[in-house]
Amino acid sequence: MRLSKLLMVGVLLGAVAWSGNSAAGILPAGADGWHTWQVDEPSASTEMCCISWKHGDQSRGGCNLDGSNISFSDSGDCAAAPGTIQVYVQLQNGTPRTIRVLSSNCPVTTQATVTDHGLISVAENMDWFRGIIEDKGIADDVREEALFALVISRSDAAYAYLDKLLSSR
Amino acid sequence: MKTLAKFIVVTAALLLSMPSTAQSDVNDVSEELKLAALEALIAAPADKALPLVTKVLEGNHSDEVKERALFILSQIDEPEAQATLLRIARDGEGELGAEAVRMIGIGGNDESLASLASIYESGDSETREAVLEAYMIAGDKRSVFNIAVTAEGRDFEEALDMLTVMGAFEELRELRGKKGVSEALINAYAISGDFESLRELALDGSDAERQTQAIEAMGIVGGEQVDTTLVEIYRNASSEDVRESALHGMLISGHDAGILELYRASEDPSEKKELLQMLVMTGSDEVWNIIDSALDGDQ
Repeated sequence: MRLSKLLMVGVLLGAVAWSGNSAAGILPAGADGWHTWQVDEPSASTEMCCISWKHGDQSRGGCNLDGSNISFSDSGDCAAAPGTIQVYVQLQNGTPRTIRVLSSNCPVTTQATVTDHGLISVAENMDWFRGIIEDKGIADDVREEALFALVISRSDAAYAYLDKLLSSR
Repeated sequence: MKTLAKFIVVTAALLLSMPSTAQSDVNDVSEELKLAALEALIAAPADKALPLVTKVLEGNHSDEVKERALFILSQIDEPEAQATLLRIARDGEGELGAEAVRMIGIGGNDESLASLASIYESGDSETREAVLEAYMIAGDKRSVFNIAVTAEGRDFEEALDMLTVMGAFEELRELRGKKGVSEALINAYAISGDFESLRELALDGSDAERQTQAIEAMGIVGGEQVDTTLVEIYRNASSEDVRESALHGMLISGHDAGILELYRASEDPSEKKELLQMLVMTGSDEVWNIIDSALDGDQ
């Protein structure tokens, strides 16, 4: 009896150690369409938005989520607010198809409805990204987008995770 | 106390028995994911990417992962990144060292490229080859030329090959003055399509062997200018060797019309026979017209 209790406690402890990669929490299971959330990330020093090119001149154009390509810039020309990032995810049956990370005040347009999940903690956000990046069932290009999103966010938490990933055996 | 000890042992056993991912705290430790993470670092600022890339290079990773890290390092235009690349290029063993050399070429940092000259001098054949490739990637014709000036034997030929691939006409021409004319240089002129240099050598009778090599090599260049020049050389040949080389040159360039023209103009039966044999070798349709004419008694 005592042994079975010990085993149960051990299993629970193991489960706690295991649960760090859970992607649950931000998005409802089986969700579709565009979803967004904001993360206060003081170490995210970059300003991420889209640019448009006309006659060789670049200007801030905002990002169109419906476009097949976005001309992304982190050059600082967008005068967005550093320290805050806005994550956009397009889901199909709960699975991410597209991931974009932009500055919170970068203007975004889309024909679709975007469900806003409000402010999310850095830890929750990192857990969600880890869940995507480490899920072998998700398409490689989406996992790569998630990695790229972490890199361009320039947040300390993102780089600490990348360090851990690259050091893993 | 006993119970607590058991509890600790059981818990530790459970945690240790979990997959290795629990130890590294990362669920997917695959090579592919590491490669993708490294590739993503291309968008990272230097101060963020450099520590991660350096750690990978110093860690126990596969050559493929380290080679990808070298590429990211090559894109960081910071002295520390370039110093690390150069250190691995100098001291790295086997393929990793050679890859670091090539990455210096991709990075295109002028100081690092200049340092490759000493790495070439002290490196083994794999390293020397990588240095030439790095210069090719960087489009640094002058550095390959400098190597060619001092290199001998196989190393000289490899440097020549690289100059040829790079389309370094001026450097190849300059080498003639520095190293003299060689068969390798003539081949380089031919492959790079330097008709003018070959024409000069083809008309220079001071070295019969090089002259005939140059005449034949003109055939590789091909084109109207070459065809006209080869027919002229044939007609004005001062020796049988020169004439034969011109004929071979026409054969290589596929100048059937020139051989036919010479055939029709010739009144020497043995020469006509040789030219006809040459036409047969070219597979020219004109051969059948000539045979028909001969049967009709026209020629």
